[in-house]
Amino acid sequence: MTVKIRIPDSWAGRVHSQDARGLLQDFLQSPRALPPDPGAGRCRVSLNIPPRAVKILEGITGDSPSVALRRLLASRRALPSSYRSPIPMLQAAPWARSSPGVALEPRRSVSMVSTPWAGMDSEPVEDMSFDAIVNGGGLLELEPEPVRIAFPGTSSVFDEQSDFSLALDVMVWMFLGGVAAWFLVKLFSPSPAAVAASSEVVQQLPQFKEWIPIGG
Amino acid sequence: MELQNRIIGVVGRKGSGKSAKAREIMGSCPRLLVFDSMAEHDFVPNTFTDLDELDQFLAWATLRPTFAGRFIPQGDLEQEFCELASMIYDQGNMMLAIEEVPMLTRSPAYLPPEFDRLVRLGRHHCVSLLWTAQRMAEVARRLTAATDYFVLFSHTEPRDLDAIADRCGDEIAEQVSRLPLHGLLAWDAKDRRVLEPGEISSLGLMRVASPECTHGTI
Repeated sequence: MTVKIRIPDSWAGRVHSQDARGLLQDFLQSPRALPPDPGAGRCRVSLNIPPRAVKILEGITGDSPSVALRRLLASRRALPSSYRSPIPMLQAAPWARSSPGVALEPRRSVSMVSTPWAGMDSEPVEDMSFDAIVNGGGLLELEPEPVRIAFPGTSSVFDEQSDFSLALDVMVWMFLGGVAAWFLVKLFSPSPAAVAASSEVVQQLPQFKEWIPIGG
Repeated sequence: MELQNRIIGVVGRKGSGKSAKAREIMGSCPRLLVFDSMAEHDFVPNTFTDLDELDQFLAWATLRPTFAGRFIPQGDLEQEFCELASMIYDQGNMMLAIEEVPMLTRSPAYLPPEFDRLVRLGRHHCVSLLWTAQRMAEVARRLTAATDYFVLFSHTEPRDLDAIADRCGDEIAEQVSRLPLHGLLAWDAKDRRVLEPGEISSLGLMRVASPECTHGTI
């Protein structure tokens, strides 16, 4: 059966049914912890793989079929582990390019922000730059006057306290950063317990007897 | 052109040796499931009486190049067979052997819908069939019409000989009527020729025998 999944753009042209079947077979024979889902990109791929095997994979990982398959595919070293390719700028629709007699204007960066103003009585937004809309139009004041607080007669003490509190802040943030990094490492590193659990799930499947056909 | 699947019929009176011949054909089949309504094929290594267990077995067998199991029905034959046929159709790529196929059909003009789907469309899912029956006249015409190979044991009943003549021709019916008690004749309905004895046992060797075969793909 054909299973269609979305894959990261950086995997395009590098994912094949045969590889997926091989990975699936390896995984079902010796389950292991899988890397996290690299995320669905915009590229679609059709994989010709047995539906029952996908069901088992789905049961072991507890993910949806597409997530489970992406995690399985991500375990292959040849594929990049994350989705890194940048999203390209929006292009004019192909039909617009091919329509005769219509010259394409240069793309403007305001096309996306112009939508909320469409239909109003003001000047056509296509003719306004982003700065003109936001600052020149007076809708927002982006740079308000800075607020200053004065502490009369205590300037030197305040400066010392400020240095101390700054150092304290830095230490606290460094500590929090360390804790967060440790947590992330623990979260994404292969856990022996998870491997054991997935092996246990597979081992719970009944073991059946082999069949050797005549002449096989 | 090679066949995408094979439908083989083994027909003979009780005690003529048709089950032994069917077993010989099944023995060479790499991916095999037997609907064993008579509970007599104990050479098959995995036996099931519950369809859920069978489903687990088929999941286990998905990626295996060889497997063999048999299902012994406990309740309503036709209902259990229809469920099993549906599972096999979904999974594909195996040979299904059915003992005493007339027990599943109410009349020679009827096949249960799931069975009919296997007969009509099984080739798209690489499902081969091996069926046995005591009397040719009792087998559904839809099934005999789709059968590629017949292994015919001695028949004397005129209605059965007529049914053989209808499907295989008068000459074959004439030869079958003259067979001794345990004699047999194998007929290739596609090429319209009599098979050599050595060719019969290899009928179970399906060309499509690997788990790489998925639906619609050979």
